[in-house]
Amino acid sequence: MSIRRVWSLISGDLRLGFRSPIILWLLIMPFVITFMLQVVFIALFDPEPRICIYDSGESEITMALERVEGIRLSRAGSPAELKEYIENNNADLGLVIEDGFDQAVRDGQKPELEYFFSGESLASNRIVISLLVLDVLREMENREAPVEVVLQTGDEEEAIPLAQKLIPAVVLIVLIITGIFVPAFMLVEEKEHGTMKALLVTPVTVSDILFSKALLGFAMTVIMCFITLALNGALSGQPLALLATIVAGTVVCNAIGLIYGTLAGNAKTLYTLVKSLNILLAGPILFYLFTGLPQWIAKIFPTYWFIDPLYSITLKGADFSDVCFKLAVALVIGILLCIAVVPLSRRMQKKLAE
Amino acid sequence: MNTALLAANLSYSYGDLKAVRGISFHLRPGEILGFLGPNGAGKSTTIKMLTGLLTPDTGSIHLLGNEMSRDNPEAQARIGVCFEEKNLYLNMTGRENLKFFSRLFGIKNFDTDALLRKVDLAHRADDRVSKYSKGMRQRLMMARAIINRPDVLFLDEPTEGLDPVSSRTIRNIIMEQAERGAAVLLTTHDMWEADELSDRVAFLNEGTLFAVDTPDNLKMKYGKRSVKVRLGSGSHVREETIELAAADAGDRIRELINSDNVMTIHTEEATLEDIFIEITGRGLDV
Repeated sequence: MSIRRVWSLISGDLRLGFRSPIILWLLIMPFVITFMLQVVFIALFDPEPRICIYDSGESEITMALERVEGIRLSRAGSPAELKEYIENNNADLGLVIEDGFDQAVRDGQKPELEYFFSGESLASNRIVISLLVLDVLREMENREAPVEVVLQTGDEEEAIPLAQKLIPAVVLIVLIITGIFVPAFMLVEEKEHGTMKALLVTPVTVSDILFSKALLGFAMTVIMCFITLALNGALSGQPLALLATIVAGTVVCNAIGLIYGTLAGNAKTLYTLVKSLNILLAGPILFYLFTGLPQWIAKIFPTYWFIDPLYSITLKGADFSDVCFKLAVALVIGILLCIAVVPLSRRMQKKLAE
Repeated sequence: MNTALLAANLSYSYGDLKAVRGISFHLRPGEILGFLGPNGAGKSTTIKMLTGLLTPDTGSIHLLGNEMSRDNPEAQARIGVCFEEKNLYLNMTGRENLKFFSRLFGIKNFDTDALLRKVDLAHRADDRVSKYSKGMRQRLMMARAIINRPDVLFLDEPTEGLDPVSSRTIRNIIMEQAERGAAVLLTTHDMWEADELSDRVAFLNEGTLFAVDTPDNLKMKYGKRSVKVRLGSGSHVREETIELAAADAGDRIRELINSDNVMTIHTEEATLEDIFIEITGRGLDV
């Protein structure tokens, strides 16, 4: 194998790749999937509580609520505008705070505070915002909380919101699609257009071709995974562990891609392989979404050995030492799959020539 | 003997089908060897073995003294191949295709324009190959085959189905490469082309090599040595065939010319196709 030839092949693939609709789709896919995740799972199923305030003075309530994370606050220019805002369900709850309201609270005058609820707002959002406002008012009166609230979550797994639980799934989709499809598709294209035969009568060897496809697939997949994690706000404080996990996952997926690419003689066969087998590779995702399922089954899937570390790092804050064993298993699987490519590539070369 | 390519006892089977049966031949630098045979004769299989795409079941191939085998970059750096099927990168331009392959051969400061001019594609150099006609694609394939100034050039039906202008361009390049010193192995079932271009021709049929010789020797050996004289007297026209091997052939020709009745005289030289049929019992256009 020659580094110069491999680099020449990669530069040719890069030139061709940006002219291929499929490769362009793979490049924009993380953005599309993230957008879908944000819209479907966060905006529709797990929306942030929204509050709209008309504040004719400079109330501490408004300022305090502005500092609270996890709610969306907007301001209305007049009580009428606020009412219209609520009626249109642009906020779950509206507050009209007249000038001097804070002073009246501090003087113990018990002024009236009117809440406007949107009829379409979720009960949970109404409760969250109401409690927040009451808490701010209590602090304004300089009153201690009558009780100390200690938060206890039940099942740790259950405590993770669905949208966050799906982040490893999104990364897995990127890994599977980009990591597998890029090398496989590029190999199959060379075969279908006969250009691989043209390459094989130059000093280029089959190993050069396979390595160049794998290397390009590797680079694209790692970059796409990091972009996906960044877009979903899941780049944790464990960059080394995250990098190792994505590298291990990419090695496994690239090796599977090379196997697909050497086996499939044309794009139709490749799509059949991808459609039928990639579902199996995505199997471990089910065990994270439905935690009641027997978890040991997930370990049968080769993808488990890098998707579980990814899940642990991005969602549970695990570090490299926590996941290194599973990553080692993933790497061994990747290496074994790469070894399997050798006889398949010989078979491919023979079939191609015949 | 100065040999560019030496093939000894080559055989290859596709399952039970024996495509090539123990053929041996050699090719000298600057020589054009025409491989003549009908479809399915084993011409393309032979080229695939010679270029390292297929490993022969038996036999050996030596290219400029080195053994030719699959994954032998040193040997493959010295050959040029033009396949029958058009296998170019359609989404690259003509220029990009040539530059890409020149990089694979490790050629620095490659003059793409000169090569594109040679194949009459300079004006379409920056168009994508997908927009090229069949003839243009074939000319680009030819340019790609000679990108590395190969010592041995393998051409599989390079002018098949092309317009006369493209065919002539390709034939000129073949001659030029041979003059430069490249050994050229040309497969074709166009006997006229083989006759015009080849220093020697090889007759291949059903995987067996029947004859390897110069076209002239083959014609001498298998063709009829005779002249056909057409004589006219008034409305009466007759033909007379004179065997040149006959003792009185010269006298008879002189006699006829002196008779003032001669309308035309034609040599009755056999074509390569006639000889192929005579040797193999099968036509070339099958």
